[in-house]
Amino acid sequence: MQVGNHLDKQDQSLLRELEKSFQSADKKIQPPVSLAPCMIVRRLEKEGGKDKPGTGWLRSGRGRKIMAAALSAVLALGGAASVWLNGRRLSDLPQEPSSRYAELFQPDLTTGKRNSYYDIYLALERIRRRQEQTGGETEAALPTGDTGLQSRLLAQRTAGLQLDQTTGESEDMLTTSETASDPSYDPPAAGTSDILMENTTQIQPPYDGDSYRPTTSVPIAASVPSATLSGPTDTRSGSLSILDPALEPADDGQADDRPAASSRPASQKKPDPTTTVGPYAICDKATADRADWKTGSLAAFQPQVPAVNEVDAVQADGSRLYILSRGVEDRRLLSIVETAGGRMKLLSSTYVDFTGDREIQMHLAGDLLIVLGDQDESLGGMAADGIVKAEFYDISDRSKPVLTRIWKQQGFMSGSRLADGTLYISTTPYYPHIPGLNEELAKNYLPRFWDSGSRKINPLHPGQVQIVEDTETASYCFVAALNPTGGGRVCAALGGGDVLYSNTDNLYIAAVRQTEDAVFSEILRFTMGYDMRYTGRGRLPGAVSDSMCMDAREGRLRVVSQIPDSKGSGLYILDEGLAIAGELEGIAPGQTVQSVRFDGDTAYLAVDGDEGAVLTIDLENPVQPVIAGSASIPGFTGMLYPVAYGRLLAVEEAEEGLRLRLFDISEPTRPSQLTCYTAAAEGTRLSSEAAYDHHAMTYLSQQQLFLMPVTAASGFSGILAVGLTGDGLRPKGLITTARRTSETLYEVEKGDWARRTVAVDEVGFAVADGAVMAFDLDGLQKGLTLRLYDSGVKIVSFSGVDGTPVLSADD
Amino acid sequence: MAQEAEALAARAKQGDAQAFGDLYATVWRELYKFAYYYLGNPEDAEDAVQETAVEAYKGIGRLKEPAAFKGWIFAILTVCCKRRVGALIRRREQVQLEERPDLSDGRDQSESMSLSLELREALDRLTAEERAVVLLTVSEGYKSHEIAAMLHMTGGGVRSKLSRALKKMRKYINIEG
Repeated sequence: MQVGNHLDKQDQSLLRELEKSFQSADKKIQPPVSLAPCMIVRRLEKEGGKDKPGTGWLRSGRGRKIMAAALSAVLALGGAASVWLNGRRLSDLPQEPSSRYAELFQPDLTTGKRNSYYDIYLALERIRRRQEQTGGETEAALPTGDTGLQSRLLAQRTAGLQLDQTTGESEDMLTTSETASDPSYDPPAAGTSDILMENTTQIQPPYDGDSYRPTTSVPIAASVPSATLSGPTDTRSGSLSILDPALEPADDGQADDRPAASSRPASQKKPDPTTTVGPYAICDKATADRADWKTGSLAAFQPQVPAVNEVDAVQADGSRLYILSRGVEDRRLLSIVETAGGRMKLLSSTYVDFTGDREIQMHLAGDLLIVLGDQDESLGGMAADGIVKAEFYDISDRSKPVLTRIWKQQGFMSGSRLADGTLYISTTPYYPHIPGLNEELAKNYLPRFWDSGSRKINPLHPGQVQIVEDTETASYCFVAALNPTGGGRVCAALGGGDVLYSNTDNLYIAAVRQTEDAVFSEILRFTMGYDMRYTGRGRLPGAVSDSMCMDAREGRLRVVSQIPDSKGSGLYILDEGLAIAGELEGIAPGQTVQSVRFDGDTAYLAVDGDEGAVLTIDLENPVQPVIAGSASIPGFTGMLYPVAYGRLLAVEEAEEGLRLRLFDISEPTRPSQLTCYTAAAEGTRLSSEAAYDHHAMTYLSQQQLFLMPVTAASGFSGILAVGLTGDGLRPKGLITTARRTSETLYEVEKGDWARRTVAVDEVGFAVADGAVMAFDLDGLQKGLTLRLYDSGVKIVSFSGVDGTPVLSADD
Repeated sequence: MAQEAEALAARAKQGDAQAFGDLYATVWRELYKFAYYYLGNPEDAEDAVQETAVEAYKGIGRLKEPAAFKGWIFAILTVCCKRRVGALIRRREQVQLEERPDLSDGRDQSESMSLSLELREALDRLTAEERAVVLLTVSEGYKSHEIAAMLHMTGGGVRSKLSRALKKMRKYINIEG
C-alpha cells in the first residue's frame, strides 16, 4: 500500500494488521436487500427523495428494530406457544423486521406492468375455464402463439392425426388489465396477520443422558480387524463371487454374460456418416486436474455443478462428517463426527425438528448448515397442504450447533441449491381446485411463507408474481433466495415446474406440460444473486425428466428431453432469450433415455432397449449438435458417471447383479467398452443406490477407486470397492457393514445399511443411518464402528410356515 | 467508463432515478461496509446509507466531476455517519446494557463474526474524523489526497490524523506476532 510511507514502523505494521482484519471481515458484511440499487431507485421514484411525514422513524432501521422488540415482548407476555428447540426458545432467535423481505416488485415480462390482484384473478379465471373443459384437471393447451414449438410438435406426429386446438374461448379473458386496484403495496388481507408458528410436535430438549449415550473417541484400527467382523471381506474367499470380466452380450441379442479369459472390446455400431471428426480434447490431464475431480484428502459425492452445493443426507468437510439420521422412532438426528487423529469422535448430536417419512437432507457451506425437507404442514390459503421447511444452523462451534433461523414455504420441494452463501429453494405450491373467483378471493391463491424473523405467515404480493404467458397450470414456481442470518427475496411464476437445475448464475425449473396430442416442456429461468427474479420461459418438445438433463454453458442452456410415441430423444440448445437456437432430434428412436451427463462440450446419453447404447454428442457447434459416436449396451437402465482421463462408468442393476461397465471416451467418435463386471455375492444379486443417485457414488481420484454402497436381498449391506486401471476396472473387494445374523431373519436392521462413503486421507468411512464404520482404503480391512444412537433394534423375523412374525431382540 | 458516468450523471441531474441507481450500484456495497464499520451495527448503517442515497440524489446537481462520483458520495456518507454518531453516543448513555447495538453480545452471530471486540473498541476510541480516515485507508484503500478531498481536509491533515489515530489504537490492540 502506498499510504503509510510517512508512518513509523510500528504504525505501519498496525496498518497491515488492520488491513488483514478488515479483509476477512469484509466478506461477511452483506448489505441488506433494502439498500440494493433497484430498491433505492424505487424509493426515489416513489417519494422523490422526501420522507413521508410521520412514518420516517418507523421506516428507519432503528425504528423497525424497536418495533420488532416490542412485538416479541407482546408475544412473550401472551405466553404463546413457547416452543423449545434444542434448548433455545423460539423467541430467542434473532429478530428480523418483516419488511426486509420480498420487496421486489417486478414488472410482468408479458405485460410490462406490475401485476395486481386483478391480474392474478384473470389468470386464475382462465385456468378455471380450462379446468371446466378438461373435466376438472388442469392441463396445458397447445400453445397458440408459439408457432415454432407448434411446428416441432407437429413434426413429432405421424401423418393423419388431428390436432385439436382448444384455446379459442379463453381469448376473451386475455384483455390487458387496467390496474383497477391501488398499485401501492397492500398489506396482507385480514385473517393472515400475526399468526404464531404452531408447532404440532412438542420437541423435548435433547437427550438427558439416560436414554442415549454416544460413543466417543473410538480409535480407528486400520490394520487389525476385530473379532466381530463377519461377512465377506476377502475377494479370494468363497463367499463372494464377482464374475470374471465378461464380454458384453453379442449383437445377436443374447443377454448372457460369458466369462472369458480376457476382455475384448465390444463390437461397435457403424459410425454415423454425418459425424464430424475433430480435435477434441476431452478428459485430458488438464480436465482431470479440475477442482471438481480433485478430492485431496476428502471425498464425498460430486455435485452436478462444482460450485453449487446440493443436498444429501451425508455431507463432509475437512475431516468431519455430518450425518442426518432417522434415528430412533423417526426423530431426525444430526450427528457431527470428527475423524482427525486416527480417532472417531462424536462432536455433537442434535435433534432437528422434522417429522414424517420424507427424506430430510442438508446443505453445508463453511460454518453454515441448513437442514431441509418436505413437511406435511399447512400455511393456510387454498394451496394443497405441504411445505418445505428449512432450519439454519450456525456450526462455528461444531459441538454446539445453534439454530439461527427457520423458514417455511408452501409447496413440496422442486430443488434447492446453496451457492455463494445464499440458499435457493424452489417449491411448487398448487391449487387442486379453482372455483369461480373474484379479485378479493384471488388473494387466497397466492403462495405463502413463514419466517422466524417476522413470525408471520406472509402471502406473496401480486407484484412478486409473474404470470407466465399462456399459463394453464394452477401451480407456481415459488423461489426463495435466503441469506443465512435473515432476509432474502421471494418471487413466483404462475405455471409451476418441479425439476430444478442451476449453475452459479441461474436457476432453471422445468415443467412437463401435456395436452391431448403432445407433450412439451417449459423451462422457467430465475437469475441468482441479490436481485433474484424471473427472467423468462422457454419451450421445447418432449419431457425433461431430471436435473441432469440440463446444462448451462456460456449463456446457453442445453436440454435433453424424451419425445413420446417412440420418437426417441431430442437435444435442444436454448439461447439467452430461451428460444431454440439449435437442436438434434430423433436420437435413438424407439428407446428411452436413461441417463444424461454433460461434460463441457460433450454430452453422454445412455438409452435403453434392445439397441441400448451410450451415445456421445458433440456440442462444440452451438447450433448444430451432432452424434459423434456410440457404443452398444443392450438393455441398459442405470446411471452414467464421467471420470477423468477419458473414461465413462455406467452402473446399472441388472438381473444378474450390479453391472459396471467402463467405456473409453477419449475418442468421442469411437466410444468403446473396455470392461464389464457384474457383482453378486452369496448367490444373490447386489443392488446399489449408485445406479439411481449420483450422491451415492464416491470416486477417489488419488487412489483411482470407486466406492458405492450395495445391498443384497439375501440380507447384507456393504461397500463395494472397484479400482480404475489403465485398461478397465478391477474389483478390489466388498466390505460388509451389516448382515442378518440368523437364518430366519428377513430384514436386516436398516439403521446399519450403508448409504454413503466418505474418504479422509487413507481411511474410508461407510456411513449408515445409525453408524459410521471405518475401513482401510488400501487393504479394505474393516475398522471399528461408531454408533450414532442406540438403535433399540427390533428385528422382525418370520418364524416359518405360518408366517407369524416373531419379535426378537438384537444380539 | 468515464463517458458512461458522465451520461448517467447528466440523466440523473434531470431527475432520472434509474440513472442515479446505476451510479449508486457501483458503490453501494462499499458505502454499507464503511457505514457498518463506522457506526458498528447494521441498523444504523442501513439508515445512514439510505439517507446518503436520498441526499445524493437530491444534490446530484452539485456533482461537478461525474468520474469522481465515488469520492463525492462517500463525503456525503461521512457527514451522515458523523451526524449519527452523536445520536448514538447519547443513546448509549441512556439505554440499558442489553440494547448496546455495536458490541458483539453473542446474539447476532453475523456481527460478532465481523470484527473482533478489540478492534471495535479501539475504533470507538477515535474521534469521528480519525475513524473515517482509518476506515477509508484500510477498508477502501484510498490515498491521502483522495481522502482529503472527501473530508475537506488537506493532505497533510489526513496523514497526521492517520498517524495519531494509529497511535491511539495501538494502545488498545495487542499485536501478537
